[in-house]
Amino acid sequence: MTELDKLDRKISFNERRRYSRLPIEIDILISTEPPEHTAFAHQEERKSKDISGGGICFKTKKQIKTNSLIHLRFSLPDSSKEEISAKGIVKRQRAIVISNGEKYYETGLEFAQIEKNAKQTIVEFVKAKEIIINIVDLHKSFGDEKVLKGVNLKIRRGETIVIIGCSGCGKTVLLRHIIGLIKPDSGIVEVDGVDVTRISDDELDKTRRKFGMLFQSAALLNSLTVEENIKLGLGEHTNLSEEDMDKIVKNKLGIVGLDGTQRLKPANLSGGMKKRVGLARAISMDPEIMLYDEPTTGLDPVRADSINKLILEFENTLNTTSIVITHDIVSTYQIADRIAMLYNGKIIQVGTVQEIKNTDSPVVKQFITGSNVGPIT
Amino acid sequence: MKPTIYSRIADALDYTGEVLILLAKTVYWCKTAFKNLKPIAKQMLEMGVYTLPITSLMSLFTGMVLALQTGTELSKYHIEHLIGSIVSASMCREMGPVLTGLIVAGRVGASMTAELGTMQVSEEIDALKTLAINPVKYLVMPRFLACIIMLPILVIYSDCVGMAGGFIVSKFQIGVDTTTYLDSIKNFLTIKDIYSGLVKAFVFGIVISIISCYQGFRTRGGAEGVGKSTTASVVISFLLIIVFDYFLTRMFFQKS
Repeated sequence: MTELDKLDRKISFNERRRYSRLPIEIDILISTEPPEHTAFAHQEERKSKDISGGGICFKTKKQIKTNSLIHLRFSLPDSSKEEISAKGIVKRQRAIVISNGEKYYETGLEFAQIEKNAKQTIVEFVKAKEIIINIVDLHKSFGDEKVLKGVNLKIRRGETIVIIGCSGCGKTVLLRHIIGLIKPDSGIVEVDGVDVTRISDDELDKTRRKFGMLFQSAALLNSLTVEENIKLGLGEHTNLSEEDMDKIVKNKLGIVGLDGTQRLKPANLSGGMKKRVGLARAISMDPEIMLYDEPTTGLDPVRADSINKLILEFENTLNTTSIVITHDIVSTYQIADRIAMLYNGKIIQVGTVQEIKNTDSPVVKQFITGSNVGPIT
Repeated sequence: MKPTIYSRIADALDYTGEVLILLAKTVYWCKTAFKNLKPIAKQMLEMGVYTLPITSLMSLFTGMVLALQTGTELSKYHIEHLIGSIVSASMCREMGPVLTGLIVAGRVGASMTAELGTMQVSEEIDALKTLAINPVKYLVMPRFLACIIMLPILVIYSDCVGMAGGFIVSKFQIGVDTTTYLDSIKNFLTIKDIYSGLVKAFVFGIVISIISCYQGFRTRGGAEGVGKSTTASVVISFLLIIVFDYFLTRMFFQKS
């Protein structure tokens, strides 16, 4: 394990979301703007340039030992005032003298990823260890109908990503690929480094234990009571006693506001109640990754808001990664860290809520405004 | 595009292959039977106990018809004392297992297909998969074991009721007394007659459970799909019961 890896593990929890700063002292500030525009600097900064081979080269007045770990803060072009923090290992440093006689050091800094754009470099580097689901060039057809035509998507641990798109565009098909309910025609779906499209049934079952899924129709087993539905996973995968399982059932039903319904059968529940029981069942094993297929469809605004709050609560308290499929734009803006738009079989844009709201894409703009005028027919 | 004879043959081979794969998986998951006694017992109750009334009625009247038909002809040659042996052998070798198999395929098999088909179209089976619960282990294995255990038991019951029905007709319509009827059974019914019927019942149990469950899993298209799957399950089970009956009878009774 390199020094980089050790530091990665230590700092990644706090830093995971929204490019928040590293809680450590900055050694060097590098700016992509001319020096006069930067707000401050620890060291005198010079213009940086990317070099091929996965790093950045810059000049400093400070001599730094090779192989030492340094922490950086990048200031960004005007589109965002946020600064990006990162770290790198000094691979080489050599002294140079420029024309006015001053001595500087040319410092080569190695990062894990090779990128030309500074912001992208830092984002990819810091987040590189934290991709939990990686979808690469996914294709799927049903008969003559091509539904997915090369979907690419990276989902980070602990984030809530909402996939939006027109009805019938393949959102549920994409979701089902992630949990291995459908096999693609080509492409890769990696979950925590494991390609779920190419493993045995036993290994797929092991991977599925990381997931919880809320179906659009809840998909409760009608022959079982509410309690028995929630105990399905617990009974199969744990050695808990009946008493302990009863406590967990009570706790999970309490979270969704349905404690007391244990003995009822799904036929005796309303649509909204079924969905909440479905959610209780999905979280019964405290999964790392939650999949939601239209979680608020068919619910009144009050119930829909309570589901949204639950999704946010799971993310904040359990650090659950959530993938949500919905048409509900209001809910999307409430819960999403990032939004991905699926259109014509591909992901055409991924971004934060603000980036999607400010999008230049006519397709995304038409969808989020709900207009019937535009490229979507 | 209209299906050709070749595409139909390919579909049939495909179907056969998938059914055999399901059978292999089901046999594999039988290793967990002792940890799942409750669901197996529930299915045995559904399959065996709740089928008793209709099995009783069917067997009784089958025995009565057998006795009536054979007794009438045997009387012409004054050998009606053999009626017991003919009724018992017919019931044990053929009528018991085949008719009981058909009853179970129509009642229990259809119900299994409808239940699993409904689960399939309402995503309940997908929900099991997302909980990392193998649907073959959870749904098929209990039904499979219940069928192969209960069908032979039902056949024994059916044979007894059929022989009782034959006795009623023999005594009160043909005029054969009780001792003659029972002696005829004792002298002519062999162990082979009995166990051949039980082996048939075992095989029919496999056919009914696997075909019904497979049809349930491959259901598509909502309520209409469930209806089509149920019909297909019953028809295919019926056909396979008759086909297997021929080959098993040949295996047991054809003189080489």
